[in-house]
Amino acid sequence: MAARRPNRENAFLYIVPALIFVLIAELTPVVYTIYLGFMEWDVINPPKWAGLKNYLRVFSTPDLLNALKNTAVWVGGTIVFSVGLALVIAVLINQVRLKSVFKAIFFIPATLSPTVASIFWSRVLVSQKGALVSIFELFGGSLQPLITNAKFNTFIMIGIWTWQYLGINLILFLVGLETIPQEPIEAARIDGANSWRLFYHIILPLLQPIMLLVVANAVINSIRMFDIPWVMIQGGPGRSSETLAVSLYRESFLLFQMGLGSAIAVVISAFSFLASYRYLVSIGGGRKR
Amino acid sequence: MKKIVLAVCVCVLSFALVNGPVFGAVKEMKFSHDNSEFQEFWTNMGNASADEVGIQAVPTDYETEVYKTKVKVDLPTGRAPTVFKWWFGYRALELLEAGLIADLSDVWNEVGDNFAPGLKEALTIDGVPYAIPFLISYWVWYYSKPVYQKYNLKPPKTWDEFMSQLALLKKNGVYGIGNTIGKSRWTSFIVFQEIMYRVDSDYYNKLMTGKAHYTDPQAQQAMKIWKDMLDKGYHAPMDLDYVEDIPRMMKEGKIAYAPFGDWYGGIMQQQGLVPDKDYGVIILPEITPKGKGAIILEVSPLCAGKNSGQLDLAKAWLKWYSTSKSASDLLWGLRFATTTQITPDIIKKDDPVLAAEMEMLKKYPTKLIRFWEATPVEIVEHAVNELNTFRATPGDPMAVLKSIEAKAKETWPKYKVKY
Repeated sequence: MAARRPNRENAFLYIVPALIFVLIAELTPVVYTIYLGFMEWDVINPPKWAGLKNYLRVFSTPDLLNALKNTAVWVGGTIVFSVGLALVIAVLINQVRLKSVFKAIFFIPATLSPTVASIFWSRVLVSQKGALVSIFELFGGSLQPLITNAKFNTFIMIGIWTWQYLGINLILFLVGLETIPQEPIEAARIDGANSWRLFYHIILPLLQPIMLLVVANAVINSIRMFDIPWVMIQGGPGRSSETLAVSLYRESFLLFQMGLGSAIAVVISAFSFLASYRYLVSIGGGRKR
Repeated sequence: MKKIVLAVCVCVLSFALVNGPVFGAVKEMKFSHDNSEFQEFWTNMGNASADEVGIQAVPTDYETEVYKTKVKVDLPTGRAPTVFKWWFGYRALELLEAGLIADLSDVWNEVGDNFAPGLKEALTIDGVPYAIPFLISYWVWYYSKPVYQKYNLKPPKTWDEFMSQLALLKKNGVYGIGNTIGKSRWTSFIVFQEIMYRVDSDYYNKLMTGKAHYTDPQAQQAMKIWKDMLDKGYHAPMDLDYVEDIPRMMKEGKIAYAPFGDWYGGIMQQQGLVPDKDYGVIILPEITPKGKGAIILEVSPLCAGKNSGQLDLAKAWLKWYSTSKSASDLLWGLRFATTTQITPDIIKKDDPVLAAEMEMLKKYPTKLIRFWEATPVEIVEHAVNELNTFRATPGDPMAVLKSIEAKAKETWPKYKVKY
């Protein structure tokens, strides 16, 4: 019996309701945001055409340049700590008997929302009656305010994000490690490859699909990082620890510069798209194969 | 005949379905605010107004930033709230200029006598009284009674005396000033404001209205004094929370003073502090003779949305709200003394600190608007960021002032002020 060819028209009809929903619920705000990015709008008075002014401001205003820099630090910090550390730990615990216990320990913080995690760490780090200072005081020490220190509070917050997100990356890497075929590893071992060479030349290339997913996810999450810097210090002191997402919020909802806020939103989306491009291409490529 | 009766009945029922009950009906109106802690109070007030004047105010609260956006977006439309809480001064100006809030002259004509002289003027822009006060708050300095008792302190009579107290407290490991920026960005302007108007209150007024500059000697002097205080370590750690940590530490005798509007008394009591036992209130002395007799005033206004379609209801409700009965509910519900019917004698037994403050205020005839509302929002937001940074890492005061001055130069022309 000849196989029936799929009816493309009918298939299309099945996705029409979802397509309409996507167009209305997702595409409309996107188009409207892009439109607002070219306007000046204070919410009260009608929007006025501003051309590229808002986009130029994103890349020329000192506060927003600082937000761009902080966002880049977040991206770098997230890749190094949240991804890098997760990979190292995954490789280390992959062969350990109590792997599931370690997985659970690292995964618990991921069950909290970033807002709850931020409030929790604010109370841990506060210099009076905080959990950390209480430990210090046991040994006669004291603690200076950490989160209000503009020099290193971004790094503290990246640390908190790592604490929270490491578990998810770890699980993904462990899944990746479990799916790696054993034959090439054993062949390399027979050829005398040491652990490092085994990891670098065999395991890492075979982990690439998972690595792409984890890195793309980590980069997108850090590009749009809002919760932790906002809840912990509102992007302060001053605007020193603002990320692009915090700037978007401040410009849109504190200063009511909806045009500038929308331009920042478009920039964030563009960066996120670029970050995920390689992953999206790899998925598309895989399907073609 | 039957048909006519039936037609009338249908009409009445239809009207009732659309507009609510017709005979002796309680009419509903939308009331918006941004204080979730006051939601229960407003619900009770809504019920009271339904019983007394047949207007049920239905309150809805939102988180402050969401609230600001929602109200601004709704005001030009039919979704506009009937009555809503807002901020006064420049924060209300943009709404008034856009024709989004109603002229409340009728309400003031009828109930204006219930409010202290000068309040109507404070809530008037270009001759239009646009609001009725919800909260009238004066900015004072709360002090810790345990600290005062332990170090045998008395309210300072001169600024130098105050500085000596701070030095003594520092020597004994007590933080002088509970002003933080940990969870509240806005609080960074407080000490700057408190020093500046004590240097020269007239200059403060001029600065707020674009008639003086941030680089003028008075502002420089204020910043110099503040930097000196920061350098000497008189402030409590900046990462504290002003709602929980400062009251607790004042009760424990670890912080001596906290400068806030007198709404802070309610927060102190919520945190378990007892007025006159755990805390008291003073008004700090002036720094120069030009700062004498001045005090900062904060007013939270209630406005009426012009496009709500319920303007008459809004005015009737605001008139009811301004009666002595409602003022009494406001006092016992939220500890806000808003109308002239609330005298120190009424509140003395329950809150002797607030009663004492009301007596003290008689010596301060010059009312200045709080920095947060007194000057355009663009300048305030920028200044708050700059002062926030300065509070965290006290650097060059002149650099801070120059930065705010640059923002002021950019902003004032938008408000048609030649700067």
